[in-house]
Amino acid sequence: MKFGPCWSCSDAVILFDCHSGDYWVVSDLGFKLLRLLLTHAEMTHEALAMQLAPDLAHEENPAMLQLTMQSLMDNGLLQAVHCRAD
Amino acid sequence: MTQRDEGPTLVAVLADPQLATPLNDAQWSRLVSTARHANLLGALSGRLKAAQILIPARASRHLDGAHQLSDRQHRSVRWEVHQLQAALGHLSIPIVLLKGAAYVLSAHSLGQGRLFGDIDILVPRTALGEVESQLMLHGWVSAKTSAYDQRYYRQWMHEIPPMSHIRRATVLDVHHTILPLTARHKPDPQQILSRALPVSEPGLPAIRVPCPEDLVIHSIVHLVHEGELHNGLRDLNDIHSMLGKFGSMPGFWTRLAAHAIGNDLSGPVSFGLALVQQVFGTPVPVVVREQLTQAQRGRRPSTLLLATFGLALEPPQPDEQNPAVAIAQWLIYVRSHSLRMPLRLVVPHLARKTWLAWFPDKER
Amino acid sequence: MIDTVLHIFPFNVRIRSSFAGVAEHLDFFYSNHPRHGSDSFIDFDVQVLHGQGLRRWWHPQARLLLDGKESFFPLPAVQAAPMLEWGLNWCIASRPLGYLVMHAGLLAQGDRALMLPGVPGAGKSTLTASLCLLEDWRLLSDELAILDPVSGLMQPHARPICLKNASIEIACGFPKTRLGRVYHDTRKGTISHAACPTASMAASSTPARVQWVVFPRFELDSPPRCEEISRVEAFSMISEQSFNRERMGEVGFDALCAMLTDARCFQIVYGSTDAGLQLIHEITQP
Repeated sequence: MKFGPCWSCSDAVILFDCHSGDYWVVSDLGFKLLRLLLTHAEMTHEALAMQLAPDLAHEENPAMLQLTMQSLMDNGLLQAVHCRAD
Repeated sequence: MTQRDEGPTLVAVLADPQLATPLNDAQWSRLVSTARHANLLGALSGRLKAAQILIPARASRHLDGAHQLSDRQHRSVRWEVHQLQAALGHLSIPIVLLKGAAYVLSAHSLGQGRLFGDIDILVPRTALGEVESQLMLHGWVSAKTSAYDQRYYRQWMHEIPPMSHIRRATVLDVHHTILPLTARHKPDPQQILSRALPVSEPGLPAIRVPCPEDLVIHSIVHLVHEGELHNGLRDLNDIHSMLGKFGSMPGFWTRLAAHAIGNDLSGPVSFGLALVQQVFGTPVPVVVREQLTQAQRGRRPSTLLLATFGLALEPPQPDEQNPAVAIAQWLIYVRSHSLRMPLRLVVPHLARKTWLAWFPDKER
Repeated sequence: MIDTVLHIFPFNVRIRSSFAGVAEHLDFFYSNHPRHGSDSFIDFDVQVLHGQGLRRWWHPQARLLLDGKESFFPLPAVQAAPMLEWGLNWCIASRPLGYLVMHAGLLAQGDRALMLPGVPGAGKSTLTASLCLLEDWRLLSDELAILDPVSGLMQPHARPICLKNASIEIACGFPKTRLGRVYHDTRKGTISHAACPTASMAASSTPARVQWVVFPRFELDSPPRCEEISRVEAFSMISEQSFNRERMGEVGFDALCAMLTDARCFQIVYGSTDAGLQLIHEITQP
């Protein structure tokens, strides 16, 4: 899995799966979430929420973290990051 | 045969890449075009790179392009196999990869530069129903929908009809034996299943590949029974490469002969070894050839059939339609059907195929 | 039977044909392209031949072969020349030669390129034709935007512009237009070709870097609108128009991302050729 460049005029990032050739458009929050999971071997939900607190503060919906995680799971991205099939 | 103007043949360059060093533009053009026709462009690219041959820029684009596509397909095959593990892993049966997929996942780095079509797997016949159900649950559907095709595959051949994935469009062939149920030889698939080895890639506990001897045997049996030879030279090159890699492993040749004889395949394997020796000059120990001939009650591979195959496998020259080659290919095609099916089934089947080719909409 | 090797940058194409119409087409549109000898390296070996057997005389057909293999259904013989053009597009889009090939018009000023990705029916062809025939944009290609992942540069590929239906009449009104034969009842309606402008031919091997990506949408009499869009959105839309990005895997992905990093992306809606040109002018000459 690899991320596309972080282009400044955008609030989304492209995530590319080198194996299947699929790509996803991931929100900024989703991107930061995945990046945290990729760079930390162990991460609890509390720690995740704390790290993302500054971004979550701008969100209108208080359940945005859960919604984002659910969406990433529905698209198989959480599992893919976990497996790191590379 | 080498012709002065046209440069060395594809087979010659594959055997000795140094022959490509003094080629001019026109000769490179012909070599690339022939390799592409024979589906060996990626393999040629790998061979030339390994021998560090200097390739002119224009030809390089074609060779690198094929190699890049092959790498991409290798990745894709690996990923598909992970999907198979996910779909079928809980059934507690061995899932043996065959042919291309086996080359990618084997520990011997086979199939470098090779392009892939379908993915082939072998499963125990008793598990076939469950396998088909689980595949459908995970998005694979039967690609052949007519009642005739369903019957052809299930009743007479050795596989359920090809399944294609709804979203990804990859095609999966699920086999329960390696030759059609109606064929002359009756190899026992259980032998391949029991000798199959786990793969080195992590996360694939249910996936197996045939042992080296069975990889070679299966490739030979497939080629010798195959009717459509547009990939014939590629498949023969696979066999040549495998024998090159495995030939020096202790006990390999002994096991190869023993497995072939023990599984009612001494005839096809004897023929296949003679063919690869004839076309690629692959060294095959005499004692192995003799053992297989003895198992065939002294019958050696038919020189006429060897010549016919040799002709049929010749890479087509761009502007020359050699009628002898066309006839050889047709003979092989008809022969393959008679090997797979009794004659009473062959004629109606071929007649139906022709009908459909003329009137593709008129499928009943 | 004509048998010639054309250098249509960056490829050498051998063309053989038994049709007088194809010979005429080559004379009209490719007389300034360099010719190579038959002993050069051939990237695409293309033949456009008469139909076989009965179909040579009865409802005569044209067949296209690449490297001796027929991969298309035959077309009516009168469409032999358009078949060559469509066939070449297919050949370049499908043969893996390391380039990322996208369905887009490509023009440049100097070495700064403007890409117009081509959603069918959106008016890309007419806009492309206007920009190089009415204004002084250099044409790199009207259909195939060819990106070299190694250099990050777009490769020119100078061929005739394919015009359809109403755009033929529009192009006839431009002073620089040299129009070829008109073909009726093709699978794309009425089509014709306009010759690649001389100035574009002169720079036919000069690559360019994409500076602007503009997604055009023609809506008759609609007021002009221009909106800058994110590169992420542009990536998605261009991906749909790319012939081989998926087959190129990671290399294709990286190349497309790199191309977009240097570019600004826009969507425009316009109701007339003039309005379209004006919007392009505002984007590229702020």
